[in-house]
Amino acid sequence: MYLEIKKLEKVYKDKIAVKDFNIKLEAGIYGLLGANGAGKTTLMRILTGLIESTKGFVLYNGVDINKMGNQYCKNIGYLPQDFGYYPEFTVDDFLMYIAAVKGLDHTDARKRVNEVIDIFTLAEKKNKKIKTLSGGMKRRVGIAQAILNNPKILILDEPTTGLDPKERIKFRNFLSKFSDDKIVLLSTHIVSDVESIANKILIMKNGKLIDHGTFEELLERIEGCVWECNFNKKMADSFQMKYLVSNLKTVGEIATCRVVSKNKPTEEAFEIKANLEDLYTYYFNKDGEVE
Amino acid sequence: MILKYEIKKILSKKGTLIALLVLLIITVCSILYTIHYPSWDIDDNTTIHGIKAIKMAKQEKSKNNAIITEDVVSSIINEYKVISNNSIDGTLSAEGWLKIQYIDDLVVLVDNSYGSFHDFNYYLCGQLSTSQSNQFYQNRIKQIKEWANSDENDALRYTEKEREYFIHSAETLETPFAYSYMDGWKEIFNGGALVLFCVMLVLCIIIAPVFCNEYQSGMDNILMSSQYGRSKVAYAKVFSSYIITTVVYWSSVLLYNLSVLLVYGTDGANCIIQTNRGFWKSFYHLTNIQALGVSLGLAYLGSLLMVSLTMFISSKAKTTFEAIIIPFVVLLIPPMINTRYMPKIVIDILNLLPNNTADSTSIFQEYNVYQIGEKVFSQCQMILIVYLICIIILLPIMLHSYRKHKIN
Ligand SMILES: Nc1ncnc2c1ncn2[C@@H]1O[C@H](COP(=O)(O)OP(=O)(O)OP(=O)(O)O)[C@@H](O)[C@H]1O
Ligand SMILES: [Mg+2]
Repeated sequence: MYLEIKKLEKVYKDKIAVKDFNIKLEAGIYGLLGANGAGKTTLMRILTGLIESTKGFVLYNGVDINKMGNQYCKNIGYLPQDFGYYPEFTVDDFLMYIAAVKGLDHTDARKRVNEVIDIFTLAEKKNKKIKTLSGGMKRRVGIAQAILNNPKILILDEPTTGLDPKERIKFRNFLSKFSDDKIVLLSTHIVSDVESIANKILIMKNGKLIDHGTFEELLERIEGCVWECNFNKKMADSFQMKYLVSNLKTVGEIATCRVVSKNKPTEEAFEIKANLEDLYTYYFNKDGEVE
Repeated sequence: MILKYEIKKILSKKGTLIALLVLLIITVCSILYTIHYPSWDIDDNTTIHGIKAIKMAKQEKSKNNAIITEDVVSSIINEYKVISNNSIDGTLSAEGWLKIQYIDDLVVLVDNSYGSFHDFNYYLCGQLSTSQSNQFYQNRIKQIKEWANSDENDALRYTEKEREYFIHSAETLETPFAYSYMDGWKEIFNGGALVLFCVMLVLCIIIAPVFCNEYQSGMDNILMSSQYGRSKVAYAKVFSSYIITTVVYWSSVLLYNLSVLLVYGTDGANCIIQTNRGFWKSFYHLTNIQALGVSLGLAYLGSLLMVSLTMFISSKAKTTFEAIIIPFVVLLIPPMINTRYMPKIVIDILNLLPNNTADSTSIFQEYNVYQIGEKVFSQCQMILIVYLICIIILLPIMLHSYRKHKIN
C-alpha cells in the first residue's frame, strides 16, 4: 500500500500554497513539520480529496484519487485543524453520527464507537454535550471520529494541540499500534511531538518539501554544526543577529546558547549533539533559501 | 440512522427552540384572540364577549338553519321590515341592530344577491319587496354575467376565456344553498392567515442552517471526506427538513383550527362557501370544510416551497444569515407592494408567490385565474402546478450545489 504524491501544486488566487511536492508514502507515521502558512493544511486537504490540486497527482496504490471518488473516501480518516463539531450533540451522538456518515451500520457503529471512546478515555464524557468539553477533550473526540472507519490513510492536522502529557503518551501508543499497515500523516508545530511520534519527518517550507527522512537521517545533516557557548548576556542580541540560535538561557549575567553553524561561532564554543529543535531552527529560522 | 441525527441537529439548535416557542405563543394568542373578540349585544348597554357570546350567537343563529328557498328569502325580507319598522331606506334603530343579530348572516346574503357586483349596502334588504324573493339565485348569475360582459376596467383585465370561466362557474353552482350557523368557519378563514404566515417564517428560520451551518462550522471538512458525506447526508438533510416542515406545519395549523372549531362548533361544515360572509361571489365550488382543506393544503405546499427555497439558498450561502434573509424578503416584501397600477403580468406573478397561500380569504374571494393556451386555471390549481414544478427543480439543484461545495 502506498500513496504517491507527484509534482503536486496548489495555487489559490494569488498565493502558491503547495509547490512541486513529490514523495511516496508507505505504511508508517509521517510527521509534517512546517511554519505557519507553509501549506500543511492545504496539502492534507488535497490528500483527503477535499480540494483539488492545481497541478500534479496523488496516486493511491497507483490510481489517481480523483478518479476513485467514494472508493477513496472509505480509506480516509481526517482530523481537520479546527472545526465546530455540533455543540449541542453529546460525544456519543457525534461519534455515532460520523460513524453512520462513514458507512458503518448501526451495530458496527455502536461497537466501534464504544471502542474509540475507550481508546481515548472519553467514557466519562460520553453523554456530555460537546460544548461542555475542554479544548483537549474536543481534540480527543476529533481524533476519535477520524479513526471510526479504521482508515488505511489517517490524516491528522495538528492532533496534539491541547492534549495533556498523559494523553499525548496514550495517543502515541495508540498510533504506533494503529499504524502497522497504515499511512499516518500528522502535522504539528511541536517539535518534540514529531520526534516522539513519527517514524519519518517531512519538512515543508513555503509550500515545498525541503527535506525528509527519519529523525536520525535528518540529524545527520547538521551533525557537527551544533555548538554551545556562554557569554555575557549583554551580547546576546548582537549574537542572535549573527548566528542561528536554537535556544538561549540566561542565568545571572551569563547567557548559554545553542547555535547552529557550520563554523565554530566563538573560541570557547564546544560541539554538542544535535536535536530536532536545532534542525527546526536550521530550516526555518533562517531567511531565504536553505543551503 | 443519518436521518435521525440530521433531525436532531436541527432540533437541538437554540434558534430552533426559540422560533418554535414564538410560533407556539403566536398560535395560542391567535386562538385566544379568535375566541375572545366576538361579541353579542344583549341590550343597549350590555355586550357580552368571548365564549359566552359565541354560545349565544350559536343558539340564536342556529334557529335559522335551513335550505335557502324562496320562502326563506321572503321571510328574511319580511323580518327585516318588521325589525326596521318599515323604514323606507331600511335603516335600523339601535333596537333594530340588537334584533337583527340573529339573522345578520342571511341579511348579508340577501344584500349581496340584490346589490350590484361591486357595492354592498346593508340596508338594501329593507328596501326589497317579497315579490322579488324568487330572484335570489338568478341575481348571482346575472351579477357576474353582467360584470363579465361589461367594459369595466376590472372586467377588461380578463381574457374572453377567463370571463367565460367565471360565468360558467356561476351558472353551474348548485342551488339552493343550505344555510347554517357557521361562525367557526368565518373565523378560521379570517384569523388563520397569521398562523399560516408565521409558520412559514419560522420554518425558514429553522431550516436555514441546514447546509450552510456545515460550511460555517468547518464540519464540511469531515463530512466531505467521508464516504456518504456528499450523498446520504444530503438526502437525509432534505428529507429531515421536509419531515420537520410537515410536523411543525400540521401541528400548529391543526392546533389553531381544531381549537377554534372546538369552541365554535363545526356547524356549517357542509355549507358552500358562497353562504359564508364575504365569499358570495367566489367562483370556487367548495363547502366550508373543503375550502379549509384546500387552503391548508395550499399553505402546506407554500411551506414546502419556502423550505425548498431556503434549503437551496442554504446550500449556496456562506452564512445562516443569508439563508434566512432571502426567504424573508420573498415572504414579507410582496404583501407590501401596491399593485394597483402594475401591469397584469406582474400581478399574476405576485399572486403566485408563497405569501398568498397563507391568505385563504383572498384566494377564495378574488378572481385570480390563469389562461394557458385554451385552458383556464384557477389560482389554486396554478399554485399547485407551479409549486410542484419549482420544488422538483430546486431539489436536484440544492443537492448538486451541496455535493459540489468547495471547502474554504
Ligand atoms: N482558501 C484559501 N484561499 C487563499 N489562500 C489560502 C487559502 N487557504 C490557504 N491559503 C494560503 O495558503 C498558504 C498555506 O496555508 P495552509 O493553511 O496550508 O498553511 P499551514 O501550513 O496549514 O499553516 P498553519 O500552521 O498556520 O496551520 C497560506 O499562505 C494561506 O494564506
Ligand atoms: Mg494548517
